[in-house]
Amino acid sequence: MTFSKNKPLIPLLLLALAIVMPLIFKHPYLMRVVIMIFYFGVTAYGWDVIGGYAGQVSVGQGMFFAVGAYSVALGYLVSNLTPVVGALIGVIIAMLLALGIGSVVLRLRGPYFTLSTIAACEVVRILLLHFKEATGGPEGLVIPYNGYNLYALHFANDLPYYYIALGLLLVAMYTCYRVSRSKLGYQLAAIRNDEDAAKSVGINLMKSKVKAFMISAAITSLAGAFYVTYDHYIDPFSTCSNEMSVKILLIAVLGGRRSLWGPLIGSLLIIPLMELTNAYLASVRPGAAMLIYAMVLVAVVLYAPDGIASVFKSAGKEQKGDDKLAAN
Amino acid sequence: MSRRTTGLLLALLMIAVLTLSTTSIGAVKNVDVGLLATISGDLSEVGNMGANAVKLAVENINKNGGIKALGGAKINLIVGDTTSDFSQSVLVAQRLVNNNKLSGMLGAGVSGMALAVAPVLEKAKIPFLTAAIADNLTTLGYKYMFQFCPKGSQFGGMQADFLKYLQQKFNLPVDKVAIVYENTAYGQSTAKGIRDLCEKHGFNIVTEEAYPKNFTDAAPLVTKVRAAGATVIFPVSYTTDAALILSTMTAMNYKPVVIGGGAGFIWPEFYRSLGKYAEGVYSVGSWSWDTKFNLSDPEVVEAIKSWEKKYKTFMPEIAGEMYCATYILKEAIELAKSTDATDIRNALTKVKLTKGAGAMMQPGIVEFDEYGWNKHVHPTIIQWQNGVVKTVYPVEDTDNEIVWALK
Amino acid sequence: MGTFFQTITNGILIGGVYAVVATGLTLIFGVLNVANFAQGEFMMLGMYVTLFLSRGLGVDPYLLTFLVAVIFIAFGYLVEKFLIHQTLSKPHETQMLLTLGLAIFFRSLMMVICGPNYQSLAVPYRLKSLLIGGVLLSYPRLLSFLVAVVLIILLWLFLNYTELGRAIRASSQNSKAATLMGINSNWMYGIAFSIGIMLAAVGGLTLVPFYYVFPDVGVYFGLIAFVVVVLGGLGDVLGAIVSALLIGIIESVTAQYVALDLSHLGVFLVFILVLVFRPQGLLRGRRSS
Repeated sequence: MTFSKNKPLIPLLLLALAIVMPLIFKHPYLMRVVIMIFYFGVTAYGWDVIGGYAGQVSVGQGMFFAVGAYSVALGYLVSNLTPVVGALIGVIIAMLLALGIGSVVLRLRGPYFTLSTIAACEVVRILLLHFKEATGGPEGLVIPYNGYNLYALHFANDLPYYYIALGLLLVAMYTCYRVSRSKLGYQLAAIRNDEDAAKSVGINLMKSKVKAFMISAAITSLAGAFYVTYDHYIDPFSTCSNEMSVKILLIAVLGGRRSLWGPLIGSLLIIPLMELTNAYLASVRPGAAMLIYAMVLVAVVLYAPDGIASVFKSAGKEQKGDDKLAAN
Repeated sequence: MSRRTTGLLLALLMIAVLTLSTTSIGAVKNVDVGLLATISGDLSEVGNMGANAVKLAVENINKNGGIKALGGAKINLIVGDTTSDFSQSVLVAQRLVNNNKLSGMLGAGVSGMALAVAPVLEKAKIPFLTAAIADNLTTLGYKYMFQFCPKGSQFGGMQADFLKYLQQKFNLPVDKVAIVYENTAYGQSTAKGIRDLCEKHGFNIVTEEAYPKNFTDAAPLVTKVRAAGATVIFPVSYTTDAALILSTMTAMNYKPVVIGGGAGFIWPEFYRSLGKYAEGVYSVGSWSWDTKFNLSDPEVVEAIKSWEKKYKTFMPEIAGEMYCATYILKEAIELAKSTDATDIRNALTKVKLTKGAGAMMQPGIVEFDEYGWNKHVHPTIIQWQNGVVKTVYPVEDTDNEIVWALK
Repeated sequence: MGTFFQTITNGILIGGVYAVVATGLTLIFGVLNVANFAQGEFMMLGMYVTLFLSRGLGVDPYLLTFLVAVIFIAFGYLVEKFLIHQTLSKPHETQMLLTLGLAIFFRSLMMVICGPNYQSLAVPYRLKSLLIGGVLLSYPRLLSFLVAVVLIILLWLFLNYTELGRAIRASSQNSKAATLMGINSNWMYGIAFSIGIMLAAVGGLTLVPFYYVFPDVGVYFGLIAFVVVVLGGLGDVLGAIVSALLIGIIESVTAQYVALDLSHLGVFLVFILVLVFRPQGLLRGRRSS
């Protein structure tokens, strides 16, 4: 882990920078990019708990994002609940969903878990689309922006949204850090290395894996919950979709799994890259942007399969052992 | 990769993104206009048609002397690809707003994208002319949103009205109707309009179902509708699902009266893929090229001709709409005599266009109500005749005759 | 009653296409132990190649079956050798990510080359159909189903009656033992992968006469292929065929008797139920999982 005890200075400096920067540079577009980086960073940390620490690749995180976002949107539109309460409800639903899926599928080895997360995400989307009266169906839900409203978390400029996103990012990072250092973290590491050995020393495989999945779901749904207060609009296609789930996974993996900075680095890489390719290539030829993005992905998978963060990590000697463990 | 090169790459990336955020300083005399279109991804077909039309309109405006009230200022178009991922659309909209001093924003197609980017434009106070048709767009209290095309519910209403007209004119035995629509915002709002008006006219709706967009097999849909005994079918498809449904119906020897729900049913690709089997199919559309008004106005005729010359097809619905939107914005700038976005927004609330390409939406008048909706507009019904869509309804818009009342 | 038979027929006909694509997937999984998330995209590439060849040469797509098969065997072999093979010793996630990356790459590549528009091929029998016992069989769908059946029979003969086929089956059942018995597993990997890809591409070919071609066409087919493979038991070719037909029927019956937009839901629910009760696949005997 890179919360090195001898060098707490750099993370603190970065944090101070993150807090002060938007007060000095007022630039709505850049701020929006950074907010997006933070939100996708949060989802990537969420993914890392199940996909990294527990070693169970989920390609259905979009459903938790959607659960969070829909809870807030419906809570506000139907019962006039403040997004804070809506987010809590979303977290509970997401954790129950993870419990349900996890307790069925996490006992199987092989690609079953991955496939069932894909299928579950599809099912949630189909249901969101089908029950139109309740969810708005394919038209989605709009939380209209009609000026400043603290109760609904509507702000005229993006600064408060920036701090909300930063706060969520810190929560997600801290949760990941705690998980990695907790008893659960060690159990997960043991399971990842050898399920049978872990079982023989008395670790309850199912319980640990399901717990990790629930934590992962909670973090991801929080991202969705607060994102919708910022974006004002949600529909099933852009949240509860395979594209969304894949994007979350790519960010986490490209950044580097099981590393404190990995998911954030992944988000810092992917979101600007998508923006850059979109800005310079989209009008050249449709699809060109995604083409570049896909090539970078394939290159990273082939040449730096442990993600970008591993490149930074390998320089610090004390992390070597941890790396080895993680690679197994 | 070493740590240093990776760090360097990340730093380069950051610098490159910073360059994205610098304001581009255009020539003094230019008017910057943004366009948001779904150029790549799932919805790219419609996005590209719309973007091509806006480019053509800008070309024609600049060729014909630019904005006259601003001493012949040229329009400088800035295109943003919103992709079909609406969370990215928001970033793209924000980028366009930030990096340019936009006088207005045009939006091609899809309601989801319009709904997602609207708050950005609202906060930045930039007027947004969108071709999206969702009913709720202008009921959300947005002050900078202008919807110049018909609403989804009007589409459905027009289809049902047309069926009534067909029934009376040709003595059609219309006892059972089926509504099938793709499971998108577009399908949902159109289907609602069809249902309401069918009930009002006393048609018997035997089945009403959504189908998943881009489905692999239309056979279950056709089997189901046929089993319900429908003699009239209202299929609503945004994409080429339209052609799949129709070809499956033909292959399964099922020939009800087809009154399509626009978009997929009136794009040139529909005919390319179905050929003579497309002949005689009706569809609603939010714009059609051969209304009386369009054929009589020289500026619109120029639009239609230049599209045909460039793209070798008749001017399709979304292209006509976006061409019109560009001209509406141009007329508003003329009226405002300013490049300031808020002035132009205020001018848009006052415009009443009755001639030129800015008025090419049916019935040839464009005027926005207090909610930002073009209050005169109504859709048309077209019929495929000899490979071209021809307006056949409402009768005040056209002299064209309906060919083959019953196929 | 007529409607019921029609519904079942609809399901079986589309099931044939699912079967071909899924057989390829299960073969790759069985031998390489790689979950190929780009299977649907290889199908899409097969459709584009068929479309261009058919337009360019002016021949019916079905006459191109052999040519397309050869092209994709070669292509699949190269992809395995230069990309997939590099990751075989790495963790599962790496392979999964590589194939996901390839899927996005192929989709955007075709978007760049051909544009986003939906394309279709006008074959003379596109809209013809046969009426047999009150059930309508669309001609191109029937042809597509027949080609699928022939292809699967050929595959079965190949796997059971040729030296190479037996070696593939041996590697699929137990890769280590096969290596010990002198089977060159690297060579096996290449062969199995290229046959798997070829099946996806030819599955795509059979769709061309009645479906449309666009860059994202493979996404849903790829997903269905996975469902089919899990249902049939990972690596089980016969299981994949039976469950493909079953999936087609479930889709069609749900669409007919429940709701059109829930047809995929029926498929995924069955998938989840199978995972709960018979994770080893529908057809396999009970084994410890």
